[in-house]
Amino acid sequence: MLKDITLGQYYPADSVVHKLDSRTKILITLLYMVMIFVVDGFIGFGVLLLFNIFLLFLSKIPAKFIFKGLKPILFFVVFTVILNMFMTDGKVAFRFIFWDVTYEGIFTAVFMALRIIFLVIGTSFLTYTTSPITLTDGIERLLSPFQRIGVPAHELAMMMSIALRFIPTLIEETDKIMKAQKARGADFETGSLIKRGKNLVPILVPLFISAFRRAEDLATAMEARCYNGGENRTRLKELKYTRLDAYAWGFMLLLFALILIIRIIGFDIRGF
Amino acid sequence: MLLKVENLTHIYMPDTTFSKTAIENVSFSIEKGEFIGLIGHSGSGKSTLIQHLNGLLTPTEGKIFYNGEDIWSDKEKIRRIRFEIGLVFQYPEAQLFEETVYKDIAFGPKNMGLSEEEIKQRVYDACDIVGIREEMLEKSPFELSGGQKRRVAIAGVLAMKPSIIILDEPTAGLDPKGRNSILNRIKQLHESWGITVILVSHSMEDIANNASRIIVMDHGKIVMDGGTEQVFSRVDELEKIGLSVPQVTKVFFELKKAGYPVNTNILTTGEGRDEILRVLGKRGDMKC
Amino acid sequence: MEEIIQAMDLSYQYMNEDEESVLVLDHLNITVPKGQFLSVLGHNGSGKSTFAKHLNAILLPCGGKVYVAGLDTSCEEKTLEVRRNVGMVFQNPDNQIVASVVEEDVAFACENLGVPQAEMRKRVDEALKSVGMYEYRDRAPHMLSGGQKQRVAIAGIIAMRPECIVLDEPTAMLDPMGRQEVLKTIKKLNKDYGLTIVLITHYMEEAALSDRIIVLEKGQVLIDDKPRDVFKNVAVLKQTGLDVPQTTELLFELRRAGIHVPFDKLTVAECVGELEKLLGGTEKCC
Repeated sequence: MLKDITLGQYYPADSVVHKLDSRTKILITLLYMVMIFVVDGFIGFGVLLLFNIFLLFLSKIPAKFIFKGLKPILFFVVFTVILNMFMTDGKVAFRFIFWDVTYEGIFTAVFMALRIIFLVIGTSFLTYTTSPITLTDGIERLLSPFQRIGVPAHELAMMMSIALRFIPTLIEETDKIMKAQKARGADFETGSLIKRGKNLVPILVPLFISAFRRAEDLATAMEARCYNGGENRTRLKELKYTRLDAYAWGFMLLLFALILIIRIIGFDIRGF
Repeated sequence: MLLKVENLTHIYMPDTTFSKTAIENVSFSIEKGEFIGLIGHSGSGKSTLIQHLNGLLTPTEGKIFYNGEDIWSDKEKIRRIRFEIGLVFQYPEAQLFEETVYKDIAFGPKNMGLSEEEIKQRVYDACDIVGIREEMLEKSPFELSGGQKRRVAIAGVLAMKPSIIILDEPTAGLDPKGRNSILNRIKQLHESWGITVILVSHSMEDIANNASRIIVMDHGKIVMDGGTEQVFSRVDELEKIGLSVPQVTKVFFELKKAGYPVNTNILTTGEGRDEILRVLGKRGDMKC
Repeated sequence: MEEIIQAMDLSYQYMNEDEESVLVLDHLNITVPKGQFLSVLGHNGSGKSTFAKHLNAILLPCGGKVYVAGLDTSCEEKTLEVRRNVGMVFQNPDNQIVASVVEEDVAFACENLGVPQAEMRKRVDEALKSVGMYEYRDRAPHMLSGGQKQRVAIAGIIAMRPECIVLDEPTAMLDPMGRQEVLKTIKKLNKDYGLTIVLITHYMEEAALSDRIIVLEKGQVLIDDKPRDVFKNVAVLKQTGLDVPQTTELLFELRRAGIHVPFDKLTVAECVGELEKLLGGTEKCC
């Protein structure tokens, strides 16, 4: 069950998207997020869809992976759709028991759902195509100009990469502890919400203790391997901008311009 | 028949590209009071198998019967099966969570819904058998040494008074002293409580010293199942699948191969010494 | 012979919860010459792990001195230099891997030391090859077996180009196959590259592979000898809570039953050889 989580995982492959500098990918992802909120109609979303299909093709990631990443947020999407559908005023489309559903409601709901889905799909491309280390490396580099004003860029990046490294280990551990407590008759499936919350104690306490223990061990191991903070460190894989990054930027800026034009000219379809 | 496994197959993540058959068409049965050694190298399917025996994993195919009853016949009752078939995981000290040793051992019996009186009795009985002294009961389990934690964790399963106990590598990571002490306790437990034991171990010496029957797994299948002497007599087959026999057994097989009139059903160093003395004695009688 | 490790009059104590001081290492004197494969045995609490942690300045002596490659470990400016010379591998393979890709983990120490990129690439590849994990360089560590993880950890140390590797119970959490892999790797590094090895363990079979065994008991050296001669002390070893290989024990039992056999035999083959000598007459006469 816990092993189904694919969000935030790296999928190694040999593709142009994988080869892009992680800084480029992070900034492009930010730009993409902006685009999602600039788009306000079906043509715009159509352009984004084409872009995502193009990325899927370029990055060589199996489509199955992308859809699997959507599963955990399904509840969230449905929740947003329902909320928007019933809470928006406007021209009544039909009556659902005693709630009025408006045309405006339907469109806002669909747009919100599409935004969330595109947000997750687009950002998952970043994590699928960038190894955690290069990702954090990129964040560290992007943040380093702010180091002068006290942003601990290296420390933040190190913390993130260690967290990413230990996620699978901790998931495995949770699974094991859960089973061990179940073997002693613990029940996680029935009872009231409060009781279920209480039932988590036998999992959380051992998990915390083991996490602290691991942290301590890891700190010793890092020290033993001459870790001494961020100063004077070199990298096995130095980040380097290539021509590829320039192409990517060129392409993204064009795409952004296109989406802006669609928005500004305002010929996009936002309803009937 | 206490426990019966019939054509058990388990596939992890079926219908995906990651699907992996962990055990395939496994069948065996266990009588009350047996002491079984379960061996096989990592990835042979041992842990998947034992997690089926108390219903932590559901079979992809096949059935498990406890006292003649299919353990999955009523999903609601699966918890009851877990009280009857105790499972001690590898590094079980990872499951400790309560403020005191007493409370932690009482966790299982409490889940069974027993009375305070009964719970207390069971905690004391379990402590007695694993060798936890009374003054330790009010300590925090996290203050204890590694070996002591291990015992508390085992006591936590024993306090449910299961009729079968499965131990997955109960001595992993302990020093020889701790190892021997845990094994002796398990042996005592088997003798005095008459409990059925399934011991999973990588140490052939430990298996030889304790088990009367051995089940060997390889690539998700049972490849051997028989008396300890009989299984350990198949040295070549065991070595082919990356397992071994106790060193002392190996010595006697080599001697036999070299043409000496020794028996090869030797499992412990004591038996080995007696066997050598017997052969030497015979020579003495013949007065060459 | 040049000495790589010198522990002189080394003492270490700490305060437990009840404010009592516990003496873990008691005026220890141990020197290890360059290129030696030393095993340190002892039951839990004998001080063997504490000793190991002194060798690369994770712990500092309360009394006495530890010199590593001529450097005083208690001298703070030299700490990095000490750790570069003496790499350390720990018990739990999961808790010492920092990165999510094998080769990046192997590079970690080099990155910390500021090794230039081209040089680092070379060292990482060489290190991975020397432990037989080169094919796995792109994998995620959590997908590897325990033995493979330990080999990755060892590669991470080798990439620093140290003089000596200290391994603190590296096989305690591994299955027999993983143990074999790790031991083979250690033995190879010692033989082919002349690396000094300090192996902390409680497995006798592992110690038998080394050039020299030290048995610690209550923070003091109880036995310090060649494996063959250490195993002669079966009774002493058993008393300190250590095991001897079954082969040694069998011969020891025969000796106790009044039969004259030497019992400094370690392997099955040696033991069989000895018993053949003993039983030699049986065949002849029949």
